[in-house]
Amino acid sequence: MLGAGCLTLSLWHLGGGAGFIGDLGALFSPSPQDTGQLLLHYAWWPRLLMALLAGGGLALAGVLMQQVLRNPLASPTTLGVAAGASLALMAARLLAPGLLVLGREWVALTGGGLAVGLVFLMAWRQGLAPVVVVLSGLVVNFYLGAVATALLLFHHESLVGLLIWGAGSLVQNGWDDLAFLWPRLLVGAIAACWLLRPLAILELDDASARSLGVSLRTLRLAGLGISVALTASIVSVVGVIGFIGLAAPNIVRMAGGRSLKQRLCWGVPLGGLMLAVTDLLLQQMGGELIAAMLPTGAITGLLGAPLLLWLIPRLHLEQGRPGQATPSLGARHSMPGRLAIRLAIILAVAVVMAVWLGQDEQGWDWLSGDAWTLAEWRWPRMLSAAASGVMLAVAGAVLQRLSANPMASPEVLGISGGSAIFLVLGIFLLPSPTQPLLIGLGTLGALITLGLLVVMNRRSGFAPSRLLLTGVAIGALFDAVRSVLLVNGDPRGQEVIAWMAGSTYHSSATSALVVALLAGGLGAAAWPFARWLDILPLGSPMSRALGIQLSRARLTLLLLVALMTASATLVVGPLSFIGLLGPHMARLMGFSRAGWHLAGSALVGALLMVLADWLGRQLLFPDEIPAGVIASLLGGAYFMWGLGWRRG
Amino acid sequence: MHLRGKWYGARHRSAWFGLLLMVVSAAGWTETSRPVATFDWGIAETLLALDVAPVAMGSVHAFHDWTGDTYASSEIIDVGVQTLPNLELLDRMSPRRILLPPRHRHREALMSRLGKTARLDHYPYAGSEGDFWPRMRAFTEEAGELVGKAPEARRLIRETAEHFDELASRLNGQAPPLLVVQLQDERHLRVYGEHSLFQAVLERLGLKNAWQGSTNQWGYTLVGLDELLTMEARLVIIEGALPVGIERRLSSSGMWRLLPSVRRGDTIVLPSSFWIAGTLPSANRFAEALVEALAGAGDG
Repeated sequence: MLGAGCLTLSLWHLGGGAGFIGDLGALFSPSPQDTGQLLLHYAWWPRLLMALLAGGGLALAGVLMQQVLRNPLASPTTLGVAAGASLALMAARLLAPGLLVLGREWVALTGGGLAVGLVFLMAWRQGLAPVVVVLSGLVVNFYLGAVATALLLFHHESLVGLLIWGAGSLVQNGWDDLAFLWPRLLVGAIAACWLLRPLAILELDDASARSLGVSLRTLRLAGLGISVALTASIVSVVGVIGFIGLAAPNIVRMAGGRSLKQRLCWGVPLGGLMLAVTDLLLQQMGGELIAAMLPTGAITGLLGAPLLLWLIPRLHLEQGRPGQATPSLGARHSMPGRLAIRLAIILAVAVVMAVWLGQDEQGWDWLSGDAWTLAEWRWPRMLSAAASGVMLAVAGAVLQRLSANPMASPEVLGISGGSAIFLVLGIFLLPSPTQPLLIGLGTLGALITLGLLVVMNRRSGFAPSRLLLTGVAIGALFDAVRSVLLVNGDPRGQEVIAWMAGSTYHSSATSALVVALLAGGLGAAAWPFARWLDILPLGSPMSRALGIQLSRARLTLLLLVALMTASATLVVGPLSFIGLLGPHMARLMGFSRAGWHLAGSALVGALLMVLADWLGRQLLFPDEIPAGVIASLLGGAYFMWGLGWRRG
Repeated sequence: MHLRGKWYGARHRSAWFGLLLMVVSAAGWTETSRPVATFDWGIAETLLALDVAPVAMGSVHAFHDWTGDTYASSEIIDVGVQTLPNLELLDRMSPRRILLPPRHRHREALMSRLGKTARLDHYPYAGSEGDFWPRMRAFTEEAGELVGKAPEARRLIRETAEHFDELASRLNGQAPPLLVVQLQDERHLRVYGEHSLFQAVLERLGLKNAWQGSTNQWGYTLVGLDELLTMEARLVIIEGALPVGIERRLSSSGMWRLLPSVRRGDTIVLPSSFWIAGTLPSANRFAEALVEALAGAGDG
């Protein structure tokens, strides 16, 4: 079956290049007079070989990662290698351009390695459990993405070239890159073959593996090291190429490739062919259809997201496990009411500060009566920030209880991403978009994502881990769409980046009041579900025994979460960790019963968002850092700390 | 930097200043001392060429980079990032006009709270059909009228036309086709064609643009280096925002060395003094630099 698949792919690929194949001679000795032959020699052949090589290398990296982590969803992109490398290159471009001249590869390798390290730190305490690793990867991807967005916002012109790289283009202009890449891949492949036998032992459980005298830690580190190095060298040459490393090994697995050896032997050529075919098709189609470049890496990402969605129901993942992490965070406060009042007072102080304290050219300035016009700019922003903070935090609290997973958050569900895809497309495709039209589009996107979530997960009874993985796929889809749109360096890209960074900038009095009403209404609507939320974290069997209809309860709560997330996303963009951070902090403070947890989360969320918005307006005055970015930086840091060094 | 806050500093804070303001405004002073705001560099440079001052605009550093510090001594107020100009700062300086290109239409409601806004419908990079120069002229006149500088705008148009005639005569009409490109990295470049400032200038000077492919609304398209191999044309490289270390990486690139223009060694590198989506002032400087390079190479 696999062989047939490969054959079709190869034939297809031959068909794609039929006009050129006859001119094999150009590969070795192009005639310098004939531009057609020169093109074949310097562009077409290197590009084809590069696609095969890079695809194969990424598949190899994917196979290794999946084997080491015993996790079918691990891959260079899902674990943040690409995002880390990308951010490292951006930072180098801005802070130390000399580094890029010395060696892009090393910058990319360092960045990618650090990102993966971060993922492991976060998932270590949970024994690198598959879902936890993938979710940690998602959080790291989010975090690095937020930093990158902020950099792009302020240095768009200097970083345009890196946007092309970030979208993964296979365009070649000679044999240099190939000459650079193949020895590295060869070394990686040899090392992988050498580790083949010990790595196969990892299919047993830890205890049996250890009894065979294998040092698991060394083995894992070696496997991952090879995988990350392979990815970084490929990524530093052709840029970020999504999903080959995830898809190729999984397709082989589905087709019956059970042993590691089979997955390596079939997965690597399959990865190469997949990338080459995609690239050949794009070369044929591109240029004729639109006046823009379609970068291969982003397109494979675009194709890969549906593939991941298709894979999720077919993967074996444990579920219905009682949440072991939920009850242990923070001791229960004896008088949550008093705690809530204290929080409310702090919030009030923050609100006053956000409206009255600001800067002008002379420095800090406290509003007095005759400058009330300035407050008219500030209060809608403060109110929108607070309201979206409330909605995200309550949605997060519901989701974390619902899924018995402390890492769940509305951002993770992908609703923000779905909403963002539509908004971004609106900005690009409509000649002169108006604000209400964009809001409508964003809502439509959120609703479509919600529909997708429901359809995809109905059969599994909205099992938490699957729900979250669906979110991962939608997030990846958003990344791909964004890359394709930004790669051409269109000036409209800046508008998109500004929106993505999540600013309360566009709030008006009316919109702020509407958002506040929504927050109040939806927050109040969550309240009656507190009893369910007390029971659901105890696991499916217990909940069923206590008379809760699981599917219906989950569906209702999910709808509520989606509505809140969509409304908040329209204000602060798809990046923010408030949905993750708010509920966590509330619990750490001692709000442990569901009712109080919801109220506490709402207060914390509002407080954090008001602070983030205010800080963003002051830190680089007169430049503004969008509230979403600040919230992500604060929230992400807290989250990584909480997960890695405390008990998660 | 020092230009900011020079005049609006503590205006809202003291009553006597308000009184002064009334006196001053009666004398007709405020109308010209309040800035005109725009967040589009093309509009901004037309304003500066019309001697409008001060101009409040976004991302001023990048603007200076692109325009090669041509406007370093002009009175410009930095209001933050182009995409998120600081609203409170703008409010304090209460701009007398806010000029928006059509692509900023979604900001109109917000900006109208700050002062009188105007959308420039003839803005040349709006993706609309029609010839470039008539639109550019209409845009310049429109902008001039909006800030009360209609005669200056007409003079700018006239002088630019005369300047172009003079430049065209220096070329004797004989030059090979050109390709105007901007390098993005060692494998990709933007090539400028239809709808672009550069193509319009080439046509006006009687030169030929070798790129006939389709382009976006700012007049360029992103291509791989390989697409230029078959084009018999002289390369004109826009220096703005050149990637780091590009020279070294290009010199080892097989494809780059094979480009007809590189083989002949007649590539032209134009220093950064114009914004790629600029207006008449940028067109002027681009044309001047180009003709200088073409004539200086002993082609004529």
